[in-house]
Amino acid sequence: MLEAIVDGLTALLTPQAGLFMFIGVIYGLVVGILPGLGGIVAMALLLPFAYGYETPAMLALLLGAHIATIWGSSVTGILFKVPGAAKSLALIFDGYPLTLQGQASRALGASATAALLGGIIGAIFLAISIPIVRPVMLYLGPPEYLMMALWGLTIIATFSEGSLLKGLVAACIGVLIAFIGMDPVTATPRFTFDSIFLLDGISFPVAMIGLFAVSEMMKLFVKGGSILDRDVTNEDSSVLDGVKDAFRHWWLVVRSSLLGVWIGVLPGIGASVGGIAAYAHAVQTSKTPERFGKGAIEGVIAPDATVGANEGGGLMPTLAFGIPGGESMAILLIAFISMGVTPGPQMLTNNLDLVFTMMWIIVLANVMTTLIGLVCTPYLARLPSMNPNLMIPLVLSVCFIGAFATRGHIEDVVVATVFGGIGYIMDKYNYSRANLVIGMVLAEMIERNLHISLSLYGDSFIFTRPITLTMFIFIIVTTAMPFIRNWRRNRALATETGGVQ
Amino acid sequence: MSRHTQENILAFVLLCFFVGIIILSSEYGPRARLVPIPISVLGMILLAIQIIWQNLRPADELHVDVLEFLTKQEIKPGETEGSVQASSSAPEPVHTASKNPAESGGLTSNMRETVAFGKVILFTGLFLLFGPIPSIFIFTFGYFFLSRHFSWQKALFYSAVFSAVIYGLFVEGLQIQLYHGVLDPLINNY
Repeated sequence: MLEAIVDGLTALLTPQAGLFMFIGVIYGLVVGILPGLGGIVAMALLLPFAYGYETPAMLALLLGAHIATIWGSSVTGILFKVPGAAKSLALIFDGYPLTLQGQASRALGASATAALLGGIIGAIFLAISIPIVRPVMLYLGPPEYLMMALWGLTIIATFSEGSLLKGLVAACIGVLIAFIGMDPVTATPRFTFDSIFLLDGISFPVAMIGLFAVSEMMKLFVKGGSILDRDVTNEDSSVLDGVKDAFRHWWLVVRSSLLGVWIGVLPGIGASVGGIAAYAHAVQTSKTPERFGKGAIEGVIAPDATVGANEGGGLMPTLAFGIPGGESMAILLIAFISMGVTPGPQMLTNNLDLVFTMMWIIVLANVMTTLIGLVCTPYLARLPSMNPNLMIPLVLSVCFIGAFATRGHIEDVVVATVFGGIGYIMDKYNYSRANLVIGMVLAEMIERNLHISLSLYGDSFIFTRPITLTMFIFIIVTTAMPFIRNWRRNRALATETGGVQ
Repeated sequence: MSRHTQENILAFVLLCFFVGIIILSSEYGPRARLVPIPISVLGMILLAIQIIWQNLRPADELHVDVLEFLTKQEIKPGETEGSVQASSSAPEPVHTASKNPAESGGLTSNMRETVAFGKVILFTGLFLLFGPIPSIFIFTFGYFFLSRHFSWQKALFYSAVFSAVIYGLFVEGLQIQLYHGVLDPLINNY
């Protein structure tokens, strides 16, 4: 195994591989910052150009671009409340409030460092756990995946922008919106009104562009002035503060990274669930959960560490079983096939050096992205102070063309506009937009796994599978915990006040 | 229109949405409606509670939620009621519309909202009619010029440069096939 680790690194120490990784990272950062275009688009567009080169260089280009999009999409989430991709959604909860407090540099620094540490920890733990993970993966089934999705939903209970009832209503609406289109289980067209366009459903990136980007620009116009009503020279933080924050919360980084590896290992769950679950975990385990949603740096660190580590985890099912861990891994699978490499159990024996080459790419691309990111951060942090007369037309233009580019359908621009209006109204009346997107992201996973679980294990599947039952109890406990803690604190406060009087 | 009325109208619209989903779902097979109907029923129940709750509270306490009330979130010493609400609701200063019309170019908040919706709809219309690149050029030029941020010459120059950058990035760089707009066949005929 040690030999494979060294061989994996040596394969990357060629000028071609180094150059390709650099190109991939720069390209990935640019694509990641553009709303609607994430890692999948980045890899899909690079794929035709990658043929004909040595395998490590090709992988460095594809994976390097994909890794860089992670931080790229975090940037817009933190600075403008516009998540570049669904996996960066959780970053807006605390990243944007930090920007409003003049701490954008700190948030971006923490985000880049957490993603780097997550990527490294994820790659290391995956390398160590390759022999253990396979049997565990095979033991888990749809009921456990259903529980994972339900765990992601618990964030709604802990973060609803002040109104939990409205937050739950928003999540219900999100779940129902996700059902628009062809039902994958029964092949029934649902809520499509005979529209061919709606058969494909509502695209998550397009909905997010509308809900966050378009509505934020509308709010900016209504409010007047720039996003950040202060002089950028008065920025209260530096990139170094963010880097220190990530190291100061090292235990949260480790936990979130392991969560990211675990979610990545499970096929079909994806990093969007990971980011949301990591945020929920950070809130639920914090001693001061009331700070979340108002600019807690842990709210930036946890999701980024998870998403960073998720890529390493996502490689596992792709390589070991030929089952893509997410959409981007599906593209990687196509690249493997074109190279004549057949993913499967023999990949972890015959082609172990290639597996470790990919681990090294994840580590090195993360390092490269973070270094570039930290250098760019002071300049990026100035963007929210831009005059609204410049920002509104420029951001709206990029958002609309991004919405169009997501699937190449002009109707998606109309969808983005509609969601922009919905987002504005929801925000004005305190219906959480984030909860709507969380509902959309988790709906399909919940429905699919519920159907399969019911078919395979019957109506009482939760109680017949010990792991499912344990996970179910865990969900109930972690959901109830903030309420119990809040109730206890208030009771203690009431006793204290009574004692003083 | 009072805040209570606005909140009630929105809640009733959402209630109608959930009812509509139930009616539509009832036409699908049992497996296809297994999740949508319970979710809609849950949404209706939550909204019904919300409607009752919000009509029992004064307008300045609309942010206080029934579930927060049940967990007895009390006002801490030294905090005003307003500060608790502000901290429990969305804390972002960008959320609050400017209350001084003079600061907002003489337009009231409602008028600015209408203009904001109008601008987004106008841009969408341009996109559908002319396709992305011409509409981006027209919209950015119009915005720069009409907001008096730039003189017409500068507005023309910057919007042309921006449109060219977008074209280079999306069309040349990312190889995205652009939509040419509803008017394209008509323009081609002439």
